[in-house]
Amino acid sequence: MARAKVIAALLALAALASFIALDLYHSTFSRQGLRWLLELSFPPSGSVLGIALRGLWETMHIAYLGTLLGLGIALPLSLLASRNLFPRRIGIPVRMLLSALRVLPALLWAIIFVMLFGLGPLAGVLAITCYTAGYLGKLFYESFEALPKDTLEALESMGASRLQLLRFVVIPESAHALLGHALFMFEYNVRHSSVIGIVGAGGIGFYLSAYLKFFEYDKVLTLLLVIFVAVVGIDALSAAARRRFA
Amino acid sequence: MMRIAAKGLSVGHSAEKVLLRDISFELRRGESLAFVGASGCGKTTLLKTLAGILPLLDGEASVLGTALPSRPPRGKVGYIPQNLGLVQNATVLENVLYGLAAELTTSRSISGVFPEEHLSRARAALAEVGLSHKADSSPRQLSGGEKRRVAIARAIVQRPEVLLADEMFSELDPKSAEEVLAALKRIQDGHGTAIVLVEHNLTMACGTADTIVGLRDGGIVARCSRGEKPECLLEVFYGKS
Repeated sequence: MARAKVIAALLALAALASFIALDLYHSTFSRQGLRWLLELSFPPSGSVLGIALRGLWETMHIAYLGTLLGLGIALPLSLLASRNLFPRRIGIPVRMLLSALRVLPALLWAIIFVMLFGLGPLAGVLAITCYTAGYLGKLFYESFEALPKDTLEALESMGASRLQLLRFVVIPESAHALLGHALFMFEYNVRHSSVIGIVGAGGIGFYLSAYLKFFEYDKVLTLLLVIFVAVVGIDALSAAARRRFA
Repeated sequence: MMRIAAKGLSVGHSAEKVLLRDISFELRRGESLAFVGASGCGKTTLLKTLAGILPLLDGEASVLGTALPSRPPRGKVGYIPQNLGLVQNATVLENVLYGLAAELTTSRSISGVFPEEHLSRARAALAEVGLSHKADSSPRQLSGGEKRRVAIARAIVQRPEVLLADEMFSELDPKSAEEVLAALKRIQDGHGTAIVLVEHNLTMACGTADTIVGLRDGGIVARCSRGEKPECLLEVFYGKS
């Protein structure tokens, strides 16, 4: 109990130190800013609804393709990274590669790919692919490593090869978990694909960025509402799919 | 030919964690041997070592003439782990077929399509353990005794010369235990399979195996044959009286 109190006190002290380090006590809330924001945003502009839906359509394609390609890369890499399936000399470099893919958020990957391939959705798809491969790779190998050892050992001791273990034990036994992770990732990528357009990687974010620059907050609000409805809808569909299949 | 021969065997998870020392025994065609001992005494580790899953720490052991740690020819040794290791997202028949996976070609391993001959053998193995009517069920739908019989069918579908089975009777009601025992007897008597059992249930071990070996304090402390009074084995669980 005393130990818990000490830990709680240390955490509170650390929070206070962060508050001071960031100089947060000098920041003040601007009522004028709020009034200005509300005046410019309301009512939301209906004139950009067509653009918003077109942007959203592109965003969905970016998220779908990025998730699919990322999954295609993550699956073999995560098998190689699993300690219960392959030796550490193979697993460690693959884990490092997956970490490297995951360390940059999708937004930074998008900046890199815009520099390499120019403005447009290709940069967005590649950015989502990289991040998805890194993230799903980790989730997948953790699922594989959680498989019961007994099942693998039983077939291995009866002469099954590694390929046969993957085909008959690893993939079927973890299929539900993999599908659940992939659906969650798609959900996550729809949200991120909306943001990466801000750096020119296609989708609804591209329009969002343009209207923000010109302070057209009524149009920005319309776009945000469209994104909100889409994300809530996809969350519900994805949750239903996970309940059904995962 | 001797099915299993072990001399001065030491087993454990590493050289620093030796669980059993100086284990010696022999097993011939159609014979059965049960290792009994309290939980944690190293029974499962011994079985895993014989199955080639864990490395041999010291001594010599050969399974079907192949010296450990080399593995005997594919399909000649059946192994049933303590938790049975059934694939839950597959049917009972598919689980039995997986016992024949080692005989598949690479292309069939990828497609997952087993030849008709394998299907016949898997159905025959299921019939042998009295579970033909459960072929399309999921292991989740089976009772504890039925699951054990599926694991036996998967292990014997290759017609192994040696069967290694870990705690086959734990948590079973008397009727299920009787069914599992009958299935093991059929394999031993019908096919001449040599069986090594690991058990903490002394009654079941005495009723199943030709020889019962008691393990305690890192080694063999008692050995008796079927028909002999097993009092000496009580020492394994309760110490010297």
